[in-house]
Amino acid sequence: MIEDEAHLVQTITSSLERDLFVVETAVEYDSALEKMLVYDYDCILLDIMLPNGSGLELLKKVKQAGKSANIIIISAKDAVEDKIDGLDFGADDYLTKPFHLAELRARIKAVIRRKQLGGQQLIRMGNVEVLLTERTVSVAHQVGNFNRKEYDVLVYLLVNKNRLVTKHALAEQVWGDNADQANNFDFVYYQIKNLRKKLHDYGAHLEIEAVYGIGYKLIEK
Amino acid sequence: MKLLNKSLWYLSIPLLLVMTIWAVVFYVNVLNEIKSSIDEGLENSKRVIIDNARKDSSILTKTYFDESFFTIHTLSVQDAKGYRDRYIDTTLFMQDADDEAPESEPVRMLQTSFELDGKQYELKVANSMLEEGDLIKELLKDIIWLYLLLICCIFIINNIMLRRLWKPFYDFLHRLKNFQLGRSREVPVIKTEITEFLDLQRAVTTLVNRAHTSFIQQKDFIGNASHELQTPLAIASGKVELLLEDDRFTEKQASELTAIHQIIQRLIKLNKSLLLLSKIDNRQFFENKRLYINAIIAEIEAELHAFSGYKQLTINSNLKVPVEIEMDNTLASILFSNLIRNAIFHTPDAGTVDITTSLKRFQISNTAANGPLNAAEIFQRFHRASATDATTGLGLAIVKAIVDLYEFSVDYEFVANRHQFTINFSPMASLQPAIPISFPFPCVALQENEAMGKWIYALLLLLLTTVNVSAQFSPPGLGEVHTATWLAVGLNESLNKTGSTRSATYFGIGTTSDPDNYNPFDRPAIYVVNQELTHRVNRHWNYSGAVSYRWQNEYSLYHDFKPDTPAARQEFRLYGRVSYTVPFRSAKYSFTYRPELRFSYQPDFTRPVNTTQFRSRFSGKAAWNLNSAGTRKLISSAELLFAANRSSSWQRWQYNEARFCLYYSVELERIKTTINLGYMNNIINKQFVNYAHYLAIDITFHDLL
Repeated sequence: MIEDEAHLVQTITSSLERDLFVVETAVEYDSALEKMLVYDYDCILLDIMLPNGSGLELLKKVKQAGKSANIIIISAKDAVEDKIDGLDFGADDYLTKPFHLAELRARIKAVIRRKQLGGQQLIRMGNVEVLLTERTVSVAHQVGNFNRKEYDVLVYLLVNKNRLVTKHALAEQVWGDNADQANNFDFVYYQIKNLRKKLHDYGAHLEIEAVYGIGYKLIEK
Repeated sequence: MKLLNKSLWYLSIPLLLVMTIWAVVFYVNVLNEIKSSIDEGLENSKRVIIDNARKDSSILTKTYFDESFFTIHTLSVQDAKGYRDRYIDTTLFMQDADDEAPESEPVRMLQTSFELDGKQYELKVANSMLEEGDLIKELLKDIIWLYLLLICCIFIINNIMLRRLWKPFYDFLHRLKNFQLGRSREVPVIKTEITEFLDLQRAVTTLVNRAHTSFIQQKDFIGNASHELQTPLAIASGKVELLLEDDRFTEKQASELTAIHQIIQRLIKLNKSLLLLSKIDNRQFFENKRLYINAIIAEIEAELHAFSGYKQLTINSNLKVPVEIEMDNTLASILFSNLIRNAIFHTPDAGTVDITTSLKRFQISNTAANGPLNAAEIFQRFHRASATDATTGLGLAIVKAIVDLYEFSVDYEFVANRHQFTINFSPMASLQPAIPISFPFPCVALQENEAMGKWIYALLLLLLTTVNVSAQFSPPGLGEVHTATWLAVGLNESLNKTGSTRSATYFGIGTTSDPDNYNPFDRPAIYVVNQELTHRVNRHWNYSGAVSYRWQNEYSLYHDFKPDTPAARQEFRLYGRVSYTVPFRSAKYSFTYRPELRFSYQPDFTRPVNTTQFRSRFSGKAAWNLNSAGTRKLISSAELLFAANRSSSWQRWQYNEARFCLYYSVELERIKTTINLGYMNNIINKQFVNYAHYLAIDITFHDLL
């Protein structure tokens, strides 16, 4: 993670370490460049505005050096041009600050999964299997019938398994960035209720647990 | 008030004052001058009379005025002593050429005395004077004329001179108006050598540069503010989320943390919305592209489908007319998404949301949960319907900001227990039919009463009206403009002895106004070359076939209405006509059906995707002879135009436009030429009607070869 804000580094690091990622950090341009060129990483989180250089510059150099790491830009700039620049320079994804930790985890897992050799686009938890390429969910090898939004919510919970996913993060996932209205949460609740019922009916060994009324956590029964 | 008029106004009042004073002084001077000149004459007469009296004493008995205009009376010695010469203004009975009877006329009279042979005499000599009343009248008349003449001259000179003098200023003003901070690259320049204007230019340049600097600073500030606020917000949000994953909180602590999390989320939203607003206000979005708004709306709808399903809402979207608009993509999404989300979220369960797009507007309405909203306040920043509302209160403010940016308008109305929001797109960026052929495409939806009236009018005219054999070359439709002109020159040749087969060839040019004014000469619009062959079967029936080539300039619908890219399109037409003509009294009536195929190409002959159109025109025409020779005519016609477009397949055949013409036609037999002068009213579309006014002139030479 290349980020100059110490608190953010600390927060993201401890969040990722709970999912058993190994996280190395750099807080400025030179050390970042050194580490990026010397080591191979599965994923690099890259801030654009760094104390003595630009993240985009780093991105260019790493790509020139032929490194194949997945790179996710995390930036406070959300201007469209910045996003396009970043992606043009070879970044795999672009995340605008502030973001939900659940969202960051989902993005990291998605880029890693995408580049795994012969990687089957498969997420498994308990007796539930999701085939991402097919957009199908099967419980105990039995394909279940989930609608689009239910599928999206389930996948989002699955990539964040055993972790708290806030209602806000879910609402944004379901509604997109502009979600603003309070009754979003009623709908999230309704979706979760439906999902719980379906998982139960199909006999999945999964449970969506409410966390303090702020969000949900997907755990194995 | 314009500078020109103001200066005229300023000049006319002091001029009136100066001229009045001058007239009084002039009058007094002239009168004095006249009197002193007459007095000199009287003095001379006195000497002559006294001299004569010495020679001829009979004069001394002349006591009344006659043609010689003097009297002599004897004076007593006492009287003579104190006698002094006097010049007086008095009157005498006289009759001059313009008098019917003698009347008293003003005279100048010298009263004097003289001594002859020891006796004292009084001599009165008179001379007729001009009438002061006449003088004043004449003078006043001349002064008024002079005044009017001066005003006229000043007006003309002002117009010519000031216009010329101020031209650089007005040019400069025009450039300034079009100047946009952060978008226009060059600071407007004034082309002049006048010091004051150059000073103005320097002042403006300084101001613009300063504004530009602060604009850049502001832009940077926004970027920085974004960075500075978003990162701490990300940290706070992340830390709380991380904290809440621990299970060691009491219920109370957890609910407090949840509240903090909620507040942080709200701050995040607020910050994002504010950044968006300031970006819109700073005009930082201007990647204008032609967008198909129906696609954007459909996408937003699909996004919200599950939610509207959950609320059991019925969404009626009427997106039949394919509409295109020039706008920034991101802003368009935000604009429509905010309105649609608002409607869906605020509709009570099982309510309805209606979405309609048409060429010039977007309308959304939804069932209201409570009464009407406060129309004056809903678009204000931070306005919230209720205190408990957890929204940022910026959604509609953002809508308003985007609408203002593009000079659209947005209105709220409460109609039949529904909240209804309407966006009217400005005429400049007005929605264009989504067909590369930019001819107006009809919209199907509603029929307005006004349009209904036009239809009845059209049908009536159609019944009344016709085609004369040597018809005029009527103007081509030039789309949604205010005014246009059309000039055509043609040759009409007979191809056989009887004249039953004829060829008509013409070349025409057309100009139009800009969408924001009524000057029909503002921009060159079209060049046409047309060839038609007509065969007359009998006195009632004739038919024809024609080919036509057209070069039509295309202009942007936005801002300066500059030439578009591509700057023009080319078009080939094949059409035929079948007419039935019937003479009745001094008029001829004819009815024509004209099927037509249009093929459009880009200037380099690459073809856009859907460029073929099939049109049908139904017209009626009446030609009334104004003289017995039939060389002067009044021609009126009405035409209805229907069209179908082909994109991937043929689309529906529907009404497009109507045209009404009134022509005055003069045939100059000696030089075998016909001149037609006419007016055409082109009524385009049905729902949002555009009326275009055409002035058309065409000159046809007959049988020259």
